[in-house]
Amino acid sequence: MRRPCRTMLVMITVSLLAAFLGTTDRATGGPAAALVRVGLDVDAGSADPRYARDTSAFRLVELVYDGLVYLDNKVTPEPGLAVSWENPTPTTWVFRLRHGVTFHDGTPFTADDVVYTFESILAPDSKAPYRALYTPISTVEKLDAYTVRLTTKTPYAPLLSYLDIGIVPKHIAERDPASLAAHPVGTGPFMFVSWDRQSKIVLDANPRYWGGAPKMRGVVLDIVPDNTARAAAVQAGDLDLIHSPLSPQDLPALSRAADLSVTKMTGLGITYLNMNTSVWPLDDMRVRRALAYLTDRKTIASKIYQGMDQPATSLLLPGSWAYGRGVRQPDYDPARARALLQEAGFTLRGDVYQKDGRALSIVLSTHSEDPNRVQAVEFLQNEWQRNGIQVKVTTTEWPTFSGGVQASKHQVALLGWLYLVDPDRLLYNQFVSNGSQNWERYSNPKVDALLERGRTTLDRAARTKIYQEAAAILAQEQPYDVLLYQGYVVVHTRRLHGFVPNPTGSLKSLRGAVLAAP
Amino acid sequence: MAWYIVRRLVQMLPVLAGISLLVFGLLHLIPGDPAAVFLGQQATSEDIARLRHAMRLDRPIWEQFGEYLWRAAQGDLGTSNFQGGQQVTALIGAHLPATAELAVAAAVLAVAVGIPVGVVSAVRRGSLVDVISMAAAQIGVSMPVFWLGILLILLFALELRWLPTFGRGDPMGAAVAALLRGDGRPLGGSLRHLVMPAVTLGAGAVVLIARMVRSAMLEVLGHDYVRTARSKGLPDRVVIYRHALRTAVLPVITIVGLQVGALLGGAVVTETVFAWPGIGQLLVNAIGQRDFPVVQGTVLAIAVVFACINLIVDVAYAWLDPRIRYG
Repeated sequence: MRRPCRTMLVMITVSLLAAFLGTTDRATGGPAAALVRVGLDVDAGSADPRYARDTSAFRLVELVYDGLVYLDNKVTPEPGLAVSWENPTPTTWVFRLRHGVTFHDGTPFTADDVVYTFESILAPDSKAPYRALYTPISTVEKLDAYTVRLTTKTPYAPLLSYLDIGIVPKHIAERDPASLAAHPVGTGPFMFVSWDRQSKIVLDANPRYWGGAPKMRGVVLDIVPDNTARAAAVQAGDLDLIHSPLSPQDLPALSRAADLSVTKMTGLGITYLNMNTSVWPLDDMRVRRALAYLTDRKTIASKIYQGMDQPATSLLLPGSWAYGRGVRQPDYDPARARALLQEAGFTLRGDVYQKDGRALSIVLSTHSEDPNRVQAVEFLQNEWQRNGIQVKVTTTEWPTFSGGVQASKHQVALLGWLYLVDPDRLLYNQFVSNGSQNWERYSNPKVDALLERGRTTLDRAARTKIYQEAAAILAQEQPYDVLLYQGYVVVHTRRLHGFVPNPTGSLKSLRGAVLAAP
Repeated sequence: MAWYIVRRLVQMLPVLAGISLLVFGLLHLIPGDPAAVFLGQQATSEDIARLRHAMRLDRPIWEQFGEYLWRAAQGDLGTSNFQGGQQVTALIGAHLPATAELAVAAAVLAVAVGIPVGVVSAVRRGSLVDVISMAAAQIGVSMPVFWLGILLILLFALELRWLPTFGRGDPMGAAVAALLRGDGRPLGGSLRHLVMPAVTLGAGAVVLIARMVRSAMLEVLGHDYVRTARSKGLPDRVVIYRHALRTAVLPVITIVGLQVGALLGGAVVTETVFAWPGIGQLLVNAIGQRDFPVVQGTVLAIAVVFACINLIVDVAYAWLDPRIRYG
């Protein structure tokens, strides 16, 4: 009888011993070394900036590489590898490059690298996910070793805000096209050291960085997929910094922690309902507007997202230069919704509106990866059903869901757009007739003309007017119902000084930050 | 016996080919286009079509499967577009040891705790120990793995700060090697990282084994030979451990074998909660991204491990029960 008890006792002792033995282990990566540990939700796919497509890859490549420009906290392009630029004609941009910059392997950076980077993105067999942003470029020429000229087919206003993409070293990428994906070599403030897939990426400070050496030994990007586990890790001191995506329900505890600093700001993303204007009953604008009147954005923002995201008013982000208070989509107003449905010829029979013997029914879909979105569609289902609309909810994983939306097989779909650094990025391909992301099959010649003009007008004041006009039409016709302006949240230890949160989610300002000893 | 093992290994080949066909077929049946997922929301349909062509996804499915089998037979499981063009075999090689370490730790825990608890419960049937352990078993069975994991994190990492919240320390092999060189720190670190994931993953198996051993022991204790042994005046300890447990433990071996297989599968959730860089995380990500080569390769690797465990269980049977002979 005694032996099993003894075994158990030994097991427990060993575990506890191991636990205390290991307390010294935390000190090895400790404060004196000043290695900043950042928690990310997914592993990066590719470390080659041309092929980066997930947010972790963006966070990684911007630490290792530099773009021609850098987008500051107001998303305004600031000099990066280009010290200055001018556009002598509406379709040409001339960039003067920084002298004396070297890649991490010691090779000097020149105009050849810039030309190579953009030509490889634009190559017909390119796998670059954001190739469409650059296709208006017709030629990339080297004028001399430190001058590059970009020519566009037509004037292309948003171009400059897309030139923050990292410049890759030609001599490596050309010789071994796949190598940068796993072993990045850039000109940036941090140099690649090692990568344990699905676990962590280690970077060292670049002592020869042209903008000044970082004040820390390096950065470790730890991959912790579970939101709550990541929040617990920063509270326990196992991580120094985490940022969106975070679960709203973890925020109160993080905000209460005395040794943590929590910053909430407006991000560059929206969460919206995509309404397929080509299918019954959504082909009737009044039905789309009625749904918008039945959408209680304030409650969704405050209860489901706990104030992390803000209720939206239009397609223009509040942080954007194009934002105008005058542009407003319908507010929550069930009475007006019912009036609109009656105007559209629906009559209430029992609990459900009907027209020509057909019940008003809607399929509302979203993807299962984001529990808050699932909650939001369930909330909407309840709200719409109370007001006489039959609602069926479908939630599937992202590839199935997005495949259906991209083929316009949906009715109303809840999803989002991220990284909206320019209004063109949210409006052009999404709303011009036959646009590549016009999944809602919306078509309005007036909107087409406005968005075309917004893209080719270089003057910002003129563009503001154009986008406000377009957004006003779209707020009226409701192919999109914007629910939320996504917030951006950064949580870091108070020992980290000098880190400036950026609405793009960029961690680049870590370069100037200092991690104090505990 | 050697001939038996060889025959079993040869029999595995058609099974693995069948599994590959099944996974291949299923992957192509479920909606979601890898090219579209890879390029993301911003990509145009022309870009997607071009990538489909480059990934050879626009060819007939039998042609794709044939090519896959042909290359797999040569040890090439393809490359992952989603993981920067890495070889699938290299990815599996990098992740499998972490999962194996976790599954073995969980299995050891399950056996080391499950068997004694089961024996004690059976021998002292109806006692306080029995009631408490069976009630704990009931709770353990119905507790979701991720929830247990989060609770452990909150208690041992956040409140007590005894254990790290996430990740894996040095690989066990390297840690033991360091210990042999006189540096115990890496092993301490590895064990500290291992404790919570292993407990989370093993909790279900502990319960299953404890209940299994308890009922098997109860049955065996009523047998004539146990009574004979007792009447001979043998001490309780000898009767219970040498006679009864040896018989009762036989079906438990099958359960342990199956459980190790199940642990490989269950590791998916545990690995996500504790950011354990194992094959479960690799598989889940690959399915979510429709990363076909990685899904196929990972499932194949798990199938091989599973088949090997079954073989080991069968051999262990023969070793423990002299009446069983394999020819």
